[in-house]
Amino acid sequence: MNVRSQISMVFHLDKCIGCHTCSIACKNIWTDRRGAEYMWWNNVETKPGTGYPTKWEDQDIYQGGWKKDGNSVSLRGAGKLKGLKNLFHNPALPVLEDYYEPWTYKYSDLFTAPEGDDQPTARPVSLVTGEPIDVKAGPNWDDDLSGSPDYARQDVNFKDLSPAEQESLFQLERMTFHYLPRICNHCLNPACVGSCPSGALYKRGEDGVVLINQERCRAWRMCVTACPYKKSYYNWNTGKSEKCILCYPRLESGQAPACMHSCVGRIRYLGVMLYDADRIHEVAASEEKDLVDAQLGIYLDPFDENVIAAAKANGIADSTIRAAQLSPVYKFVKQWGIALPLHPEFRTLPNLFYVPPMLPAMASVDADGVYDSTTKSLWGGVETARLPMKYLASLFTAGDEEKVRNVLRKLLAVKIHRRDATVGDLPKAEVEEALNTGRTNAAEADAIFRLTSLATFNERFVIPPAHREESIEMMEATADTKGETGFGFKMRPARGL
Amino acid sequence: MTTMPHPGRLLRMSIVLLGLLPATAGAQDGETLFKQNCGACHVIGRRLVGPDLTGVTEKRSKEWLHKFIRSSQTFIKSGDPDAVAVFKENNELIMTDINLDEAQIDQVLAYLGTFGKPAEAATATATADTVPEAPITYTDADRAAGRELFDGTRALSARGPACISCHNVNSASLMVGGTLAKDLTEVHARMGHAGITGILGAPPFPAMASSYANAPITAEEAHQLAAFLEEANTRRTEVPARSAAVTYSMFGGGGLALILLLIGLHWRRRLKGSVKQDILDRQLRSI
Repeated sequence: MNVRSQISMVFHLDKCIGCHTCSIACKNIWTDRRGAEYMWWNNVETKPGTGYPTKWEDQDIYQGGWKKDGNSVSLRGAGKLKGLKNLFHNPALPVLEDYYEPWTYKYSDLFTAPEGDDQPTARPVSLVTGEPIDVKAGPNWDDDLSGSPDYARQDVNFKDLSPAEQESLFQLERMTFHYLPRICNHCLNPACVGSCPSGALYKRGEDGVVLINQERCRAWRMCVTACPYKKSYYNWNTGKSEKCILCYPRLESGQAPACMHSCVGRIRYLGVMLYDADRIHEVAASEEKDLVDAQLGIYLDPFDENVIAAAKANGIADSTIRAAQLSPVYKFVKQWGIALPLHPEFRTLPNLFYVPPMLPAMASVDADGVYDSTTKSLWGGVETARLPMKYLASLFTAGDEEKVRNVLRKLLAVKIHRRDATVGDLPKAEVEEALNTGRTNAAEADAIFRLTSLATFNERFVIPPAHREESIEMMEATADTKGETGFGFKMRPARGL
Repeated sequence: MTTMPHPGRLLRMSIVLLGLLPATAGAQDGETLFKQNCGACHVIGRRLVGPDLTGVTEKRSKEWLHKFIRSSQTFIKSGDPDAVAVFKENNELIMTDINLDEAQIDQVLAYLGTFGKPAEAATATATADTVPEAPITYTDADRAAGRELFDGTRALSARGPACISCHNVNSASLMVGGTLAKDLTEVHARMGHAGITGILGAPPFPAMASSYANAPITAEEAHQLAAFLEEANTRRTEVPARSAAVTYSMFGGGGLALILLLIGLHWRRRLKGSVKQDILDRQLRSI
């Protein structure tokens, strides 16, 4: 057992209102720079939709992630020989139009326009060329199903849906959507790290944050294609690739990442998970139907004596183990089992988990074509959810519908139980049956409700002390400079030295 | 027993020391200057590389000679009819600029003869130089050795740079040489054995002179190189009429086409344009 600690996250999709505050918080702190305008380290997509960049989930196009290769895995579009063959021309690289051409407005036109009959307008100008442009797309061009014929209908997750099922999704009465906020997953088996010819990408030993060393990056852009989530972006101004850094300077000072801190719906949870690094290879190479269970199995119980002993032997601090025991992510993912990884079939073992959205069926069209907006119970059943289970399974369980159904049943049981506890108008038998079907009990349902709805800041974000004084010793020998002139002098002192 | 050095040895030492003196040393007379600076191409009494200079001071004025010696090409380009005529008569063989000052040129001219009448000194030397040349014979060993010296297979004895670093010779047995200096394929026809060995013995060209200043080419090596150049000149006619430039262009063009073809094949499944081009196209059409 090789125990390591990993900062992991849970996003509760039922709580996301799609306000993009997270994206803006991130942009203002990290990517409001020349060359980084088009980068959205955090973005919020509408599903069904093609996402950002367009069709990022389609690895036939972008050749990202790992594929099973016998008893092992290999990168789909990079790696030693494939990477070398395509070193000077990466054939699956997205172009700027797959994202969008960033623009601003020439606001000075509003003030300097001569007096006339028409209202002056601020022309859009490209942030790349500085020339006036006709805006054709933006990072959220398909927000709230806008442009559905072009965007939502081309959702990659429709591939397993029959044409009839797809068509029914776009009937007015059944139309539905939810939001999918995405940041870097800081994967356990990151394809970006595996693909880098320069060795510029690395996974931090102390907390598993995946970073790009800006001094070693040589702009091969293999990570841009290798990341199946398209969360590595190439900065055309600096000639280096950049990605989400999980606000590590904030984490190190005990603050939540900016996207999580600013989240209006409080959908985001962050905490430590302990995992067994010896099993990464085996888990990543498991059969597609076993992938989710195998990945969830790699995370260890932080209360287990053996795990604690092995963690201490590996140099994991007591404070980190304590944080792992309090981790909200551990509760959502392992204890309650209601959070699932996004696209586990990419085999990167992502550390960002999603509580799938309920999307209850509020109305239906019956056999006579009558639009019926009444339901027998308040939420209807999981089976009558508007979004086909196949669709959610394509997003979160590599096609296993039963897993998604189980999660939704438990979420529904929590709601029914809380209705019973607060209003008390439901027959006891129905509540009991819901808890049984959801494979849960009243105590667990209360705990889920509490962490979902009432959690305080410190319950949502359990950030372990960074112990920089120890982790820095992995990179340099601090004793070398002991007894020397501190920080040195930028200007030579007039006397001395 | 005396510790005095042998008088002959003293003399030899002083000659060596004199030779080391810079060219501006006042002690040098016109003859020495002539041998050092002009001897590679000119002798009195017969033609070597350049024309026979006997009586040149009678034919030309002092100013004319000064100008020609200082920079013959500048003079010729200035359009002087005599200078142009001399250039044409001598197969347009370029005479390098001679780095001598006014006084030194005067000394050389004084050696060649006072203006208006033949110089006794020069005539006297001329008799020595007009001894008929022994016929030059090149052996196959000379030619092979010359080729090795030329392309650097064998180093020059004084470790000077191989000729091929600056010169090209069109020969089937050689790779393409440098383009810094003149192509030497036909040089034997123009200069002959005497000219080549003369230039190799005391290079008059600035770049060549500095290259071999501390690494003189021996007489034997010069002979071998001349043998090789003679062979290169006579064999030249057997080289196919297609020039190297055409061959290279053909290989280059063919190679480029092949590489472009391979690139196209290797990356035939690359992403072409944007994945949402159809979306953008449809939206533009609907406007």
